[in-house]
Amino acid sequence: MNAPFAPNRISPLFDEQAPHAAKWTQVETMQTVASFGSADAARLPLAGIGDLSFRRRAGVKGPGAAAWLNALGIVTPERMNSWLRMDDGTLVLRLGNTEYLVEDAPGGSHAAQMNAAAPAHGVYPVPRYDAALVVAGRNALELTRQTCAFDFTTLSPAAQGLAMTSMVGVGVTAVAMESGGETYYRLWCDGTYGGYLWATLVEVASDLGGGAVGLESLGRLAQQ
Amino acid sequence: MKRLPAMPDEWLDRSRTVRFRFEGRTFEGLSGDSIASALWAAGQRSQGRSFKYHRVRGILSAANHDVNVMLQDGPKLNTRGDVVAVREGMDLTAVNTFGGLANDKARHLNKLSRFLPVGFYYKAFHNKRLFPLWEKMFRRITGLGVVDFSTPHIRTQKRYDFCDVLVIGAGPSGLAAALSAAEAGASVVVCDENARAGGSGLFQLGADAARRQHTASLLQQVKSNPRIRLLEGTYAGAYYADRWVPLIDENRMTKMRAKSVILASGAYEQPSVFRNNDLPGIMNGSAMQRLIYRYAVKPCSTAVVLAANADGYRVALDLLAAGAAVAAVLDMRASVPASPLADALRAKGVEILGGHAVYEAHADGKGELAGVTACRIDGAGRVVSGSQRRISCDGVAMSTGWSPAANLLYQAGTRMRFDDLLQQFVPEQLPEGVFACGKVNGVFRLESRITDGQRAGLAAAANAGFEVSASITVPAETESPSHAWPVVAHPDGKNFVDFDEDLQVKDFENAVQEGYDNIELLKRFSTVGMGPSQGKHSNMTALRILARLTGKSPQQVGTTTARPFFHPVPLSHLAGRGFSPQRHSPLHGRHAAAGAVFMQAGAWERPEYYAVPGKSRIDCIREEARRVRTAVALIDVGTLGKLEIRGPQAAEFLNRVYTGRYDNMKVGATRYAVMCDDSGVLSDEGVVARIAEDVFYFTTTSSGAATVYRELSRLNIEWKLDCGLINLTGSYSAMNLAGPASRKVLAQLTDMDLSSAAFPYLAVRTGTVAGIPARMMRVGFVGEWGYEIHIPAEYGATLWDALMKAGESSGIGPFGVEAQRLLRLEKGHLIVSQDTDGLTNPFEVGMDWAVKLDKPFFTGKRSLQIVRKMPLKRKLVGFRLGENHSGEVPKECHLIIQDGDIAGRVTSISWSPHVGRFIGLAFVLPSMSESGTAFQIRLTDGSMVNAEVCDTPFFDPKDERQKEIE
Repeated sequence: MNAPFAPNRISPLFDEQAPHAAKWTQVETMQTVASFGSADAARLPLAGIGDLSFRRRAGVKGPGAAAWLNALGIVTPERMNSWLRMDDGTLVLRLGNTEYLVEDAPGGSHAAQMNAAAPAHGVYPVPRYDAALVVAGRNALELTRQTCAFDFTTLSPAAQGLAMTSMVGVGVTAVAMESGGETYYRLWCDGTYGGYLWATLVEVASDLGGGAVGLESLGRLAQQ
Repeated sequence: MKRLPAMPDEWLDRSRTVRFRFEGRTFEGLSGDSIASALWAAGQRSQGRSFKYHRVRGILSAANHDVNVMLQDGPKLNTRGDVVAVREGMDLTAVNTFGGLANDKARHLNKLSRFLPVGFYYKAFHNKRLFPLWEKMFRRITGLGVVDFSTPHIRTQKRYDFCDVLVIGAGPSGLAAALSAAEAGASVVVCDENARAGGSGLFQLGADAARRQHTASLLQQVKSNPRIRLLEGTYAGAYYADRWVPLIDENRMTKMRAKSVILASGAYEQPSVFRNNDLPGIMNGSAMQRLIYRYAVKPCSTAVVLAANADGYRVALDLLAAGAAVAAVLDMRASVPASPLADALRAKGVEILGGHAVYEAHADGKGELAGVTACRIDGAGRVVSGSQRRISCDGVAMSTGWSPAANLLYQAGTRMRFDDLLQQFVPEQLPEGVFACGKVNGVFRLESRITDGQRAGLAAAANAGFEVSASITVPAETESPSHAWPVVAHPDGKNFVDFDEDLQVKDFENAVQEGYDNIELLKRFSTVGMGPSQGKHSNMTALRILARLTGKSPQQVGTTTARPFFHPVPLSHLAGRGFSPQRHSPLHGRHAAAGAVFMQAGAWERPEYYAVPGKSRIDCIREEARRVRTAVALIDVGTLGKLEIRGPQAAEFLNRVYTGRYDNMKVGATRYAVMCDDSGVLSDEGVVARIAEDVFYFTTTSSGAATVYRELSRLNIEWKLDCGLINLTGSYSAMNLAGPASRKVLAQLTDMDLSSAAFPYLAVRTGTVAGIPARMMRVGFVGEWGYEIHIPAEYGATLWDALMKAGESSGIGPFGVEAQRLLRLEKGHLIVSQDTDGLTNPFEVGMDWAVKLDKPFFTGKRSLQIVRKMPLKRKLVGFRLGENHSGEVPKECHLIIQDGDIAGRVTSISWSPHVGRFIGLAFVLPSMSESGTAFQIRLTDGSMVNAEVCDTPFFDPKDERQKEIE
């Protein structure tokens, strides 16, 4: 073997984004679009779609999952189909009864910790290489209305509910969050459907005055 | 001009004049006019031609389903003139004419009508030989409008929406329902097709301003209520399960989901039936009221009102208020009930004749109404001989009855009953969450409709979970709004029941005489209700006629099925923006960059082959296959289903779901796996790899991944074994590095021991490749030394690039699905669903070795035990064509013929560079499965191709390629 490798992570949305990207950046070893152009900032308040796939995440399921996560210092939501944000910014989603998705805040290490730890009895690791999106702007709700049969108004940020539904025909996990008094949505889907989801949402968003937004313009939305 | 002074609720913007063309002439209307009202205001009473006899027609209902006024508007055909607002610059023509409305060459069909009775085409044009000729002719002379195939693609949006209570119809009852529901706390959407809400509450006035005030007040409250969204110009096109209702507006369709749905859709006024009841100038009474109050158009100068209810009297009063003269009110009821309305008319000198009807209408030289002959009728509706009397008029208002707009109630599954007093079908049992109020509910008096709306609104809110305490009672109707027999016989016919299809009373008599005496049969034979208005103005009268002809009650006759959509919906709305999820492997971009020609494989797009400039498709595929056989090549197999089962009973689980045995596998080994369903049919296959004592990683076919995961998840819940199943299909990228040089290439990227001893054929190993954690299997689907490498999806492209770079000196290249199909065929490997079908068991395809019937249990075991004892019906064999075969090559699914009978079919076939012949797999009779047996394959054109059964694999039968190569 030749010199040691330092492999790059590739966003599941790379193929769709590459033709439109104006500027790239490296985040968490993943090449990510920093900017799609000067229109990014104007799109975000209307219907901005951003790629947060760079965040590290890991999943686990099984009857022993909650206890195993707790032993690793990861707090788990008490209610099924709900989420919480830990003090360090880590997002913990409870999918159904005994499955969890943990997404690190930038720089976080819980996912790596989960991947390294040996699973206990009744604990089944679920690798997560999702396409992870953020949908923001005052037309974000209308965007969901044109793409999903689920009523996103029932996902209030305060209630911290979670929906597993179908959007543009793609299975997604969705939550509503709040930033600066404005509601925005986070979506996760199987990465192999990510390109289609991204392209379709960007197309619909463009009808609503929005579109793809690079990491630089996402600002706090990329950090939360 | 017949424009009236401003009306309080008119839809017009009098400051804006709209110029448009109709049939080559220029007209002016006002902004807010419908096309029909603008034409009528300009004195243009002839606005269309009928479908069959090409008779001149004018406004009939002005109720958004007026088939008489259908227009071509540029590329838009069948524009409804009674509902579409006139726009500046429109260039309109009436549909269904040959040479224009005035000089329609087909108008002579009217004189041939006696030769064109109902169903004539069934009897006259059934000759098979001549049918194409007739078909061509009928397609030319029928059809409404002309399709312009160069019409630009219009992309329309679709959207979903949600509310607690959806109210369909914004007339008095709908508005009252919306307010009641909103006041109970519900979020309410109220929709109405009309450009402005208010419904009949703002035009059925009887010259009584107080009546409009009720509705105007309700409307004002609705508009100012924050819980209510009022959608004007929006109609509910259908009803689907779980209270899904598509709402159609000018631009798009909204799929509304409500917790409760209230039908306040009103009723369609029904034309009366008498000779020449279709002359321009004769219209429903409500149509005249719409013209007056919505468009400020005086419908006529002198009217005759044909009435059978209080509404007709109101029409007469409204006509008088609009400045028209009313020559007479002909009331079809035996006697005129005492009422203030009748008194008011008499006070204004209007003659009211009880027990009278219109015997026939008379046309002027243009074919428009010039007068009527009135007559007395007896209690059974028969004309009293000698009672005829001629009355000059240029307008007839027909107000003899209504039919409930209950289409969506029927679609929702409402049980309806015929109410003899009301002479109307009314809801008897409504489905859960569905409510009705107003005319559709059999409530006609204005005050009662408002009360009924309040009742329905509270009930709907309660159903949606809001606390409601009030209880409201609606007083019963005392007068029938509909006449039981609004039909006047005439020996010369032309008394139309269905204006869409030009159906006269005698057409129904003939149909029943021929045995079509059931409402569904009658509909299909006569085509009643099958035109653009879908029977909105004809079905009820047709039902009454059928009931009378068969001696049944309307309840016994019943109604036809109401199907979505009940109202015209532009195809562009239905098409809308479609969603067809495409699944791309993490390597998709790499394939595209390498010139891949993609093929659809389920939801996936996969490279069929990689195009090379100057080379044909087949040459590219053969070159890719040659590279695998002689050097090294890489294929994306990430579309395979990739599952993991983990836990103490993981092996037991696999033993149960696959036909083979997995509890005796060593860690680090792989084993082929066959899955059957309960009937023993081969349903999927793959490779099982034992990663640890309690961890198995296994693959499924690409197309079967989702189904297998779903079924295995179900079984895992049912069996309650101590193990968990994880779907890694989207999480892992996978690629197969295959060819004699594969080990040399891989060695550059990993520290793993790749020697045959350390990593033998059919072994699985974990390690890192290019710094990426990987699971690798030495499998040989294509028959070469190779490694199937599975890694986290986010590193897929990185590893692909690394392998391509490492293989440059070895001549590496990508290969696609077609090359892989050829290579596996040379090895005699089958593809489930290509070389098997929905009946194939493992014994038929030579997989006896993979079926362990000595296991205590596995899915399909019982069936396979039975099948095993029975003789095979067919067998999958290898075959090859003659050495120097030339000419057409058989295709997959071509039949194998023996002694004139079908003896099997080809499942796979391809040219094999290695064998130097066309080779394939085929199902044949067991008696034909011996190697060397000759048989024939029938091509599509019927010619035969010779072939012979041969042993498989065609290539490397002893797996020499998997042995140490250095």
